[in-house]
Amino acid sequence: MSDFLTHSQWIGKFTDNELSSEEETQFLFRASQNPLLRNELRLDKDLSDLLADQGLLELSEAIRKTIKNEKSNKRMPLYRQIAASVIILVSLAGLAGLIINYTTQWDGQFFLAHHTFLSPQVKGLFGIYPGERKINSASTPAKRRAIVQDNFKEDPYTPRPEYEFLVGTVTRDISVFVISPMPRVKCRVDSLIQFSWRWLTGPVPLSIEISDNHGRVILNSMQVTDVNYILNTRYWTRGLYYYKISAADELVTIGSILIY
Amino acid sequence: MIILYTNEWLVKGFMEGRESCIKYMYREYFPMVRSIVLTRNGNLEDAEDIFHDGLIIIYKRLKKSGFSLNSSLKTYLFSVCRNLWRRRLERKYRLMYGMDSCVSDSGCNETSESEEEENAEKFRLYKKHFAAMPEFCRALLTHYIRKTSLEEIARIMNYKDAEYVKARKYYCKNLLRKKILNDPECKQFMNYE
Repeated sequence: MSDFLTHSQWIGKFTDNELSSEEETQFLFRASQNPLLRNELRLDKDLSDLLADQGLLELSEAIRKTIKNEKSNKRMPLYRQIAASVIILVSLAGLAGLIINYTTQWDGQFFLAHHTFLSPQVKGLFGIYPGERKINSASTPAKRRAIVQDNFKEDPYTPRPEYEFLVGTVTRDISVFVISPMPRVKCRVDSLIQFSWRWLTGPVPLSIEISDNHGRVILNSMQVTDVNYILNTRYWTRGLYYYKISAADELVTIGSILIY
Repeated sequence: MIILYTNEWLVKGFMEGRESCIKYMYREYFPMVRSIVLTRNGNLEDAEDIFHDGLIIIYKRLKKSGFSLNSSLKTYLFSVCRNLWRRRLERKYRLMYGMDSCVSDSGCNETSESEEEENAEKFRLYKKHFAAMPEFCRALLTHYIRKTSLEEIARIMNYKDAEYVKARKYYCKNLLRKKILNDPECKQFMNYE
């Protein structure tokens, strides 16, 4: 009973109650004499007591497993979750802003016509954006007038009422017959427009004046004696223009040129 | 998903060893235990050990008949873990400075609480070494702990007879004892001669 293995066998037999009464007395006597044996005996008892509780073993295992798992998939701290949410929201808001800005600045209507969710008829983007501004939505006549004037200033295609009702008018007593252009001309930018006419009695110098829809004179050709005049619209901006052909201070005809 | 447990549900789930409850307790209560340990000269591993031991102590106390939990589980765990860590520090200083007497104000009287705490520590230590044992030893001792008969263990583990099982059991227990006795942590808290 001097070596460790022998101790272990004796301890095992003692724990399992397999020792005879004589052996047990002898064993306990030896234990009282030998501190090493005493230690082992105590440890064996501790082990038996502590490992006997199956529920405790399972609980301990579960706690260890949880600690290990939670450590490996550690959650993102709260401040990082908030920061991530804020970044996502700001990005989405920026994207929505870009879409709205793009759709309002874009002059093509095709996209709006084919995407009902962006259409002004459904009050803008997903019903949040107010959509197209209505001109007549102002509350007072003064405000409405101001809006119309602003709109008129901005728009190069708005007809000028003073000229519009005269388009196509021909003064009969002047002995000039204008062959071209037609009263209402539509052409692309960078086009050539031919002016031609015939004198019925004798040649009279003609003048051609072209103004935009705001009445600003763009071109004034005086004393044209030829029967043809070519107008180049290369550097003109798109918009509505009016031409006036006059002979000796007498108006011959007025027409409009729409450059698109 | 955030699930809120009531104290009763949590205690019930914990006693049943429900994983979701233990996970919840770890997430909600471990930061508190960690702060106790980290602010008093400990590290993260110490905090995990204290958390484990604290739960083991609470489990044992709750299992005792006649024990009722008067406060919330969180408060109770906090107090258990704080005492546990304080006692561990005291023992550490005693060993460090070779002091025989207690440094705490409460004196050296070993209370049932401190005994429980020591048992929890022992249990953790045994468990650690038990987990590090060879597979066959763990299986054999587990069967033995479950009071399975030696003949049955021989049949399950394909050993020739009960005598051989007994010999293997002695060997495994001896191995476990040796491992535990050689552990420096064991010498820290065990009053073995």
